[in-house]
Amino acid sequence: MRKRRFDSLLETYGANIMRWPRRDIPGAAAFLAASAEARDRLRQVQALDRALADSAPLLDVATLRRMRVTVAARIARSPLPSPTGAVAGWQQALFQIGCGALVTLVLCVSWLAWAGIDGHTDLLDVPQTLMLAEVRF
Amino acid sequence: MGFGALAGISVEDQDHMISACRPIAARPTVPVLRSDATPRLERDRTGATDETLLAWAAAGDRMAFDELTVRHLPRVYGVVLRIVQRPAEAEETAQEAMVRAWQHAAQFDPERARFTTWLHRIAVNLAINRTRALTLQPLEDASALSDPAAGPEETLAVKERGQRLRAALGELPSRQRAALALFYDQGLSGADAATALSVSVRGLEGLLRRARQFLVTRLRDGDR
Repeated sequence: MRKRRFDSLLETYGANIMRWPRRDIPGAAAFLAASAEARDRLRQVQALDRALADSAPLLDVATLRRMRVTVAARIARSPLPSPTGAVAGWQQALFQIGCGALVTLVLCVSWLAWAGIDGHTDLLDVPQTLMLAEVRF
Repeated sequence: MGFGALAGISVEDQDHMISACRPIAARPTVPVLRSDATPRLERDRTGATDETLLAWAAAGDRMAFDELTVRHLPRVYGVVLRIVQRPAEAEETAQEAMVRAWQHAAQFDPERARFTTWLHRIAVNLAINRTRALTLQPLEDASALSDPAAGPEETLAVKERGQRLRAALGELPSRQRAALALFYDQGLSGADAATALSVSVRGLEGLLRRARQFLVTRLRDGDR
């Protein structure tokens, strides 16, 4: 492992190399054993790790108990879980839109068919009438 | 026992709640029981896996969900508190996360994600949304999050450093705080933390690196 890679992992994952990506652990351990500078860098980073661990919020049992009771009460009032979630809702909306589009399409096709027959007849009728008129006179 | 009887929590349950705070990796692994055929009164809820409990909950077993609450509420609250940084808001948000988990229990797919990752994802999303609606508290108020058990022997320098760190944490973007909470506080793997944050592993690494660099800079500036 190169120093640059070691420093990058150290600055990302912290000083506990066992939490680094698995493929990097053996190389990091070997680099650490061989380099005094790497060990010094590790000690510096450990200070931030400790500070972060010390700053983790403390949870007291009374708060957790109160929260558990509140959650239980809310769930007792809630309906049972439904399998229709966001995806199902999205599918339902799509189905409704699809049905609407289908109905609109059927109406449009019916109207065009009806209007088309009439219009077509008119268009055919005009020259035929003219032709008939020419033949007649 | 009816569900309403939960208000009186036994000492054993309190111990159980506290023990739920230990890292996920330390929990015993029990084979997943997918059968809903077991009568509700005969179900071994404390011995069941999270996924089995959620399957039971999805079928309407509120006591199974309560067991999940006992196991995971401390962790959810811890993550949310780290992100939101205000105990009252964090409490509400963590409770809301559990209620959302109940509401969406039937949509959980154990083949796509682990329960803990799924739950963290719900909690983190809610917490980040919450922080967007909040102006984070100033440094003076941040001391409310400090260790109440800290003894008088603790040096002033260490206290000040802790306060500076908490203030710096408050200045971080909420997603960076969430990355720190999931990876360092909760001990999630990089992949699980990334999934909970809806980012790639590389994205998570970026969040962690930027967060750490910011904190180091702030602490170094304060030491001068």
